[in-house]
Amino acid sequence: MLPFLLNRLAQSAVILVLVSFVAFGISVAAPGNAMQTFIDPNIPPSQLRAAEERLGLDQPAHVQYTRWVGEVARGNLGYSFRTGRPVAAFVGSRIGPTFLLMGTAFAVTLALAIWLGTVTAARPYTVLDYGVTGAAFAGISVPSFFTAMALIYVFSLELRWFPTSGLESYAAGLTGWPQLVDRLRHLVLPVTVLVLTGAAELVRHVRSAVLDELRQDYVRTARSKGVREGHVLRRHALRNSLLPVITLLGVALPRLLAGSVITETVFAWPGMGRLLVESVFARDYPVAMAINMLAAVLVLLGSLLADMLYAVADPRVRYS
Amino acid sequence: MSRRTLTRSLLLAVVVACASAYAQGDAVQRTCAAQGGTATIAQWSEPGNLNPLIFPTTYDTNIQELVFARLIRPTETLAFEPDMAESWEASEDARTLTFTLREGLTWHDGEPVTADDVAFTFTAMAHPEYPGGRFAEISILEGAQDYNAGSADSVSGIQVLDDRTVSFTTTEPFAPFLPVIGGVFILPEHVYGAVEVARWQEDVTNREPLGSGPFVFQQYRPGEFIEVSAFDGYWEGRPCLDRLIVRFGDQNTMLAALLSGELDAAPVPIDGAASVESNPDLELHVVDALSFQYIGTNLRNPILADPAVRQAIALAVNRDAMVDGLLQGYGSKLDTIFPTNHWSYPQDVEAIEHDPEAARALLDEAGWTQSGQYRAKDGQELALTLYVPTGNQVRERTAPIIQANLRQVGVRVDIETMDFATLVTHLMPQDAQGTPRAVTTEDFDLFLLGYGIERDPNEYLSYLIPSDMPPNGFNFIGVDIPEVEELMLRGRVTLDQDERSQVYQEVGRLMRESLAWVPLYQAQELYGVGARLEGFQPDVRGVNANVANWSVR
Repeated sequence: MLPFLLNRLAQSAVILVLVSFVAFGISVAAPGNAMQTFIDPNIPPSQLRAAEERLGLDQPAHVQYTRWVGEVARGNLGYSFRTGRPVAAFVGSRIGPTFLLMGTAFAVTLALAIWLGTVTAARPYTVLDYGVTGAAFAGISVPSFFTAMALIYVFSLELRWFPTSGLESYAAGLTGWPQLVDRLRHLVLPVTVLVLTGAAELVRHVRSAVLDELRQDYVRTARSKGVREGHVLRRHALRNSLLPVITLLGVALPRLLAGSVITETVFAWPGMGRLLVESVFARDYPVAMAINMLAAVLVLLGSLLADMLYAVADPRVRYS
Repeated sequence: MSRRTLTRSLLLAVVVACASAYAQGDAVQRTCAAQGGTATIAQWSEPGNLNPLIFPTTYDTNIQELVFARLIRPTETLAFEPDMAESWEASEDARTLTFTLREGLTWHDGEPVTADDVAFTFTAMAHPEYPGGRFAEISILEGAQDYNAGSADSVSGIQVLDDRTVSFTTTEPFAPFLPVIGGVFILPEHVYGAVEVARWQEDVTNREPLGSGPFVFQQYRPGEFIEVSAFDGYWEGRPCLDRLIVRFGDQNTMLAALLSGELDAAPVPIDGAASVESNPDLELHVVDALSFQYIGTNLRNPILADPAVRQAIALAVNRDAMVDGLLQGYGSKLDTIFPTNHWSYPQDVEAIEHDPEAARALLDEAGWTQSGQYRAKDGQELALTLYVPTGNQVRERTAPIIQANLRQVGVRVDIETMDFATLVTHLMPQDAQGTPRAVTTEDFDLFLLGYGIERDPNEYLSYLIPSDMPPNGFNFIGVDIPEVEELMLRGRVTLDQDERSQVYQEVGRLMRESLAWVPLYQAQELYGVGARLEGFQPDVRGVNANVANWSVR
């Protein structure tokens, strides 16, 4: 296991360097720079130019890149062009809300997909199965910003069950339990959006994986030995069908991250995804690069974790 | 950062407590519909910098004006009235303005405000290492250039006469100097002077401002909100609210938050006006603004250099459809380059009619003959590309209207949509090495953009005089009209206000003839206000015009 791990980590390092190269290249290739978004009649171009020089934006792309890599290697992520904030603290303060949103959505997605996938596989081609399948297709097809706006309209504006946006009720100044409840209520709609789109796909995979397993010989054997159907389903078929699902989880992480960009914007959630969008429009490279790199690390970590889980879940898989 | 913040806020708490005890005796008493409470409002974008001397945007200023005060401030009719200064006077030769500060002014931390703070603020703008981009505003001050170049220890044109008196001397009479003074928030030297000017953007004071305005900065949660609290020692009397929270979010998100009652007030996109009006708990405020939208033309392009073509474009575009349809009536057409509600707008300017027939006749006369769907001359098709920046939904939707209107008169328009930063690379181009260069015919044909008066029409100078074509200034379109240049320069030295407004109105008439900018419409700003918030009365100066009088039930 250890050599495998080391090997994978080395690969990841190479990939990260490549990602940084491409991401930086795309950032710099995008027309315009941070100062060019500050056109103001009271600020003549010469002043903008001076600011560009101060930020090193007048340098060729490879010089800017080498400088950035040099600073990052020394642990300095730099300062935001737009706000002057230290990037590490700036992006750092947005990780928590994104992880809270993604983590909750991930857990709910997983539970929901496995439950619905198993239930529909146990009763294939019934009304229930068709219903879930139909809903899953709708979930995959409807874009998440639409789902989000529809949910806000129904549950915030019409029914008034949940707040429209934000992390908590800012003016209320709550603490302790009421604050926790308030935050959970704010979490419901954005998590629902991510779950609806994320679970829709996963439920299809779980269903077909479980269906496959149910046709296996060992299932027939178990059934003929008189094992209860629920037991067959959960203990035998489900466990084995999770193998392909684990592989999918590695992919689900980046997908959630991408989904959070839109979801965070629509719900004014103070996460990394929204900051990324704002940074790109402001041509705030240091911030955008930090978030890109963090996302790349997460994706690599996700797939590594999936591979390792694979070995844990299936004794036949050995990394040696 | 956190320990520093904590120390500062503890200190602040103590100091504010002392200050309030002191201020109770002689402070101005404000009449409030209700005292205390917290109001929550919103804006559509997060501020970038809270140090007012660092590349300010409207979203920055909206927050800064809660915390900071100026020597003088604009009135609703766009004259100036005393703010931190109780009075000011001009010298005989009109080159020196002397301001006297009010008695007993204090900063939010309880320190007294002195003339040195004022001198410090304006001197910082000329500091050789100053990173904020606003040097040009005060470069007219005597000695500012020398100090900026490092050849002087101070700006000779800024003199502290005593604790409460400071004077500014310009190198020559400069008519818009009052608007310059009225645009600078005063910083406390004992806080901002402790930081190297070069590090101002990175420093914590750029996120946790300290001023002498109506509200004391409390906290800033990036991506979420900024919270301020009433300043007991505010010279105009403690604000009615205890706390004010400003949230940031996408326009539609903030509209939803307003409709659901999570916000007490928020700007409303035009598409949201109906939902606010039909909501019994909300009231719609319609406010005139000083900004408008126009079509810019690249006058280096031989097609657009012909005034007949520009005039045909103006006649063909159906601006009524934009105002009635896209703006739903919340706005008006305008016929030249100044906002209609500003003193620089010539009310007698010739109206631009919607007359496709006349447009066709003009193009025929100019030699552009219809061949098939579009016109052509000497084998060249009458085709133009329209660059449309994103970020203003109504403006984006005018592009297809313009395209269709011009197609009807035989002009082909291709639309290219891009974000603002990309558009700027076309208007202010750079060569392959990244060095700014002059605009050519190829850089752009037509573009959509908004413009407005921040403080004074002198701001148009760089857009209208030939020496300020890129890379030197913002005259991207390449306008070169000697009379306009002469008038724009005269506007800088004409001190009599009536005479001065005549000067700019004449510029307006000339630009109406030229149509180098084809003016489209002037949109109004909409705000939705909940029943809980009283006294919310934004005007042409912005959302916070009377923020100290807001109160909540």
